[in-house]
Amino acid sequence: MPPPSSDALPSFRQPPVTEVVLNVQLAPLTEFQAVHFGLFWESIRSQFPTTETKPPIDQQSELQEIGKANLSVEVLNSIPMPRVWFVSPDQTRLIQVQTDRLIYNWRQAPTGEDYPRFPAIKEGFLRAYDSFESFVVSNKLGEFIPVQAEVSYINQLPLNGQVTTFGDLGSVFRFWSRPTSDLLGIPEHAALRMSFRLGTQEEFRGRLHVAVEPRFRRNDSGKLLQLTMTARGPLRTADRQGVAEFISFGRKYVVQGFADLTTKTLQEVWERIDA
Amino acid sequence: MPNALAEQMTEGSSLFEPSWQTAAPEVSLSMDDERRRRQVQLGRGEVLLTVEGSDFPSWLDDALRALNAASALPANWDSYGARPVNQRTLEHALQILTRIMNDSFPAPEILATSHGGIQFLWNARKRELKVAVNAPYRGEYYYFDENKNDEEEEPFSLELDGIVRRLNDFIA
Repeated sequence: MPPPSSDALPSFRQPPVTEVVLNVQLAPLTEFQAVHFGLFWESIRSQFPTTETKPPIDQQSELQEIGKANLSVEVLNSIPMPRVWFVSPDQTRLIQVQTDRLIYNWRQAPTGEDYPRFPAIKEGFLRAYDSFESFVVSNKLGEFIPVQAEVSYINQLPLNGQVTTFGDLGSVFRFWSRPTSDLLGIPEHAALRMSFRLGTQEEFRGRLHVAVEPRFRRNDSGKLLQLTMTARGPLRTADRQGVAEFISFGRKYVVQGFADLTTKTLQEVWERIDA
Repeated sequence: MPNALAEQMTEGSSLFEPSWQTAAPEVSLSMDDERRRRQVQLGRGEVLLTVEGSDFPSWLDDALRALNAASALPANWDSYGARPVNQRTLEHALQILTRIMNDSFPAPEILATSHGGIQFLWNARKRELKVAVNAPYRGEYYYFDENKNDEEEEPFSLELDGIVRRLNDFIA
């Protein structure tokens, strides 16, 4: 997938994005223990006053070649270390920490807060990154080595207008023709996953993963198609600059890919504006 | 109706509390999902090894024995203040080995390093490849072919293609 042609990316006045996730995978922090979740919380508690404990997320390595290894190793810890959420008072922002990941989320509140736009979310992520790195270094919890970064946009497309059924991919993707068959008509239910290689022949930068799946909203059981776009890849340099660079790089592919893949009809609903 | 549906997140989706539910549970009835599993001791912990579509490779048991022997070395095992092998580094070293090896490659010699890491060593026919795993996702490899006067030393993290390329050179 060639790089986006310029820095001017398409934008939408009413984007369907309901959640943005910025994520960095770290080399496991060898000296991190359960007590350190609480110590870290002390440093951010005024902005993130509540916590929840969750199971950890496995490492996901975006490698140049897919499916080469047929032997895998899973470490079985007798005392598994959890992932801990630190949640903002309005529930829209979240820092997640585990021994080998730092994640920053923005999500739309039930009250429908406007999307704060990417620069503000990236700034929040980098503040969390700086806080956590400083905490790890000052407490000597292991070498702080970022390995891979990730940008995810989660978009929810309600089945109440342009998109009609769980199988109506033709209303979502411009490359999907419909009806599928005169006999069968539009599918009642469909899901799709695609991935695109990022970078050049000389330099592998990761992949853009695109998934669309049927979902029900929790708060009102409303039907929707959820379109998730994730750019994930290794870092050019294993430091803050490398992380920040990939986050911006990946976001360009997410946004331009979203605009390239979705139909013009939906983009009119989202009020596309081009710089 | 949604209450009857599976509520767990699907792989690779939201990292937040999901504001949605899956619309249908996914159940695989495929008979093509043949896997073999072994749970083995590795240092102070255990690992689950899973192989798909074939038997466990012939080099694996010797490698596990050597890794466990390295892990059992006490502090100062070299009488020059060596550190014991770090458990996380040990686990990562095994993960690296499973990614770079295939059945056509010779089994490496496996040694502890004085800094608490693991080194894999291949040495034959005036060719030498050393892969030092210093910490999880941090290491370097050194290759020297005396026949061609070909020498390379590079760090590695996530990508191991350089090591695999040199292993291919080694057996060529």
